[in-house]
Amino acid sequence: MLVRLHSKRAYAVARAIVTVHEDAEDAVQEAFVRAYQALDRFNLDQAFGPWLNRIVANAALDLARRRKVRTTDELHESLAGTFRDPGEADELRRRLAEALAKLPDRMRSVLVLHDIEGFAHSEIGKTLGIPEGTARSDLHHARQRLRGMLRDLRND
Amino acid sequence: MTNNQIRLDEPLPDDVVAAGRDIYAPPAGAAYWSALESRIMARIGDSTAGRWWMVVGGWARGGLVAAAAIIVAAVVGALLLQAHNQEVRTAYEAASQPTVTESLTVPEGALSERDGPDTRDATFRDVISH
Repeated sequence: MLVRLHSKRAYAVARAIVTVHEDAEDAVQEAFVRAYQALDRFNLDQAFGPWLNRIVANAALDLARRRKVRTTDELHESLAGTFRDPGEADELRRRLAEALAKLPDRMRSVLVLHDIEGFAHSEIGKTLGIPEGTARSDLHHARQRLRGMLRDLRND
Repeated sequence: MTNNQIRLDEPLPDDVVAAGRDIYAPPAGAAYWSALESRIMARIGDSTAGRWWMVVGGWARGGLVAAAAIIVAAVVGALLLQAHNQEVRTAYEAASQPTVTESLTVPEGALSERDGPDTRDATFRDVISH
């Protein structure tokens, strides 16, 4: 029940960090196992979701570090791939995927969690283990870079 | 949308956010999430079994340590008991045998039996003759 309730949110956190669907899936599974094993350390006074998200983020970051050898081209392809009809892919999506892949990992994670998944800054800070101010700063710089990379497309 | 519409610290344009949601869209369909839940539960089950074996292993280690302690205690106890018995035996033997002074003191009867009346008389005569 707990797994069903939190798996989609956990997937969103993992995917924002590792970007690849299969890796996000692995990270989610690993995170739930870690959470289960650490349940005795869970403080009942706190919310379960943020606590789990932190574990998911750690599992995803561990996986991302192991996958560091992945080439940028592979990252582009993985970001461009979705679970919808591939025919829906358009120029904006392709360019956005390329731009996101060029962002530093943490900046991309913050931007995806905030602008796409709707996380609050405080939540992102707790999830990624960074100060809230850092999350805000990362978001600012990520948006700035993204806009720069999409500028020519925006002028079309 | 023009470049002027994209300002720093403003949210990304809706179409960019929509494209991002498309890119990061989670798998649709309840079947996928049910399957993922099953895989997660299976992995948790495996990890639980692993922990169970670790616990049993811990118990086994604890049992071995306890058994070793019992054996050591038994050996030490046996040695102490043996030493105690030895002490008792030695003490008994010491108590049942005559002491050194006792063994050096020749019983009067034994001397008289051994020396005989002639020897005693000769000795007596020798003493009073001086």
